[in-house]
Amino acid sequence: MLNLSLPLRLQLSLVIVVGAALLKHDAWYGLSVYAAIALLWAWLLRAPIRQLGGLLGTELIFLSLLTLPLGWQKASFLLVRSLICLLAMNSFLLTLPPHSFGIALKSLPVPAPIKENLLLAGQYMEILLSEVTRMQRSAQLRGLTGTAVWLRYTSAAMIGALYLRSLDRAERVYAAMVARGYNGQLPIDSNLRPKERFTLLLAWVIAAAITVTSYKI
Amino acid sequence: MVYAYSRQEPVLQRISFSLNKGDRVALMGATGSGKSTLLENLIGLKEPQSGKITINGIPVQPKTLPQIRRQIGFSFQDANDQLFMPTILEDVTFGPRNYGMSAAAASDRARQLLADFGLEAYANRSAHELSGGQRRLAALAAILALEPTILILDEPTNGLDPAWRRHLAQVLFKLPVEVILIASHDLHWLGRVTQRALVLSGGRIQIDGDIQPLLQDGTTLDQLGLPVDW
Repeated sequence: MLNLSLPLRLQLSLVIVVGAALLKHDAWYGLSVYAAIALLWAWLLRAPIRQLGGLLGTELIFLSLLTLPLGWQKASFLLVRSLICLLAMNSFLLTLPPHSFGIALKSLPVPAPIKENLLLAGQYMEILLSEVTRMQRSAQLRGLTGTAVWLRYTSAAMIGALYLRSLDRAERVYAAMVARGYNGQLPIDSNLRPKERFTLLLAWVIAAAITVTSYKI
Repeated sequence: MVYAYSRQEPVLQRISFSLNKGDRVALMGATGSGKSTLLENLIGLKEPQSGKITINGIPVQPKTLPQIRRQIGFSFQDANDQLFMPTILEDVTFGPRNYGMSAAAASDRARQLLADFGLEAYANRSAHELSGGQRRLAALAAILALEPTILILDEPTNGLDPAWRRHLAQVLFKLPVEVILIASHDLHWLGRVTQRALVLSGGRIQIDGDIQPLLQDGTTLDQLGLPVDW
């Protein structure tokens, strides 16, 4: 796999997404360039093909429902463009090491308050998932087996318990933050190294050139 | 001081004690005796119904909490609650940076602490990738990064194997803190790292004295719900 830091991987994925999303409508030439870049990106990241295919298939079904009423010509361009964006982002997400979404998230080029909220939400999701896993294991050890039974249990007793557990946990985490001087701002560093910054700048320049060209041809 | 969870029998009643510079104190008591509640009162996470807590002459009140918490390093019972940043390094630098230390200085201090605990290889990884014992050590590193003068640890040896328990004891001996208060059920470990024992039972401090004679007195400990050999 390509040896790039997670923040840089996220930012490069975003360059492809933003560049493709801003292409002029019906600019198939530009779209094919982005398609090639997205495929190369997926290959460089060594995205697992089977999982990637499954995810893209599911996402495209939903997208088709939204775009097909616009007519074939418009829908086909939108679908291919969405496919390229999804290919880039899914390749990134599927190759993230476990529990490292937050590490990548902190490099998002958005204002600090939004970033902090995203970061805490990401961490909260981790907590929620670990609580679900624990509850699932605990239920299984006490004889609750099979997906159907688990789903029935999930729909009834578990939601309330999960809410209380996660709320309790969130309160304890907040107490730990306060005890270490939390004053409403998370100290987040996401500085890219000079070499990484140059790579990112180069990627933006290439993307801008392709996208701007699509309006001139 | 007195503390009760709403409309219930007080968990802590007429608690009174003082800790002096140089004290290494064990807070002992059976499960549910109120040890964690007492510790949380000390750093203002809970507010007593009556009574007063003073740290270095400063009363623990909402307006003095930042000042109080700057002096106290508090480690929670569950290390998972204490690690909330994306990476271990950021978790350890969280406290110092909140108190105005530069990112570079905080990072240097954090890396040194992580190296002391054998966690330098995990600095840029998520806490979810660590074992229970490693998380405990990372949480302690996060506390020590604040260079507190008072250290309060709630069940610090939970999930640590004997080698790490010994290592933790050695680290504690070297720390330049003025007071250490440790709540734990690990009586033998407490006997090695503390000199004085406070024993909570029935919401009160039943014993306040030297820990060694107490650890020899199996009958008393048994009566307080702390059988030594179990």
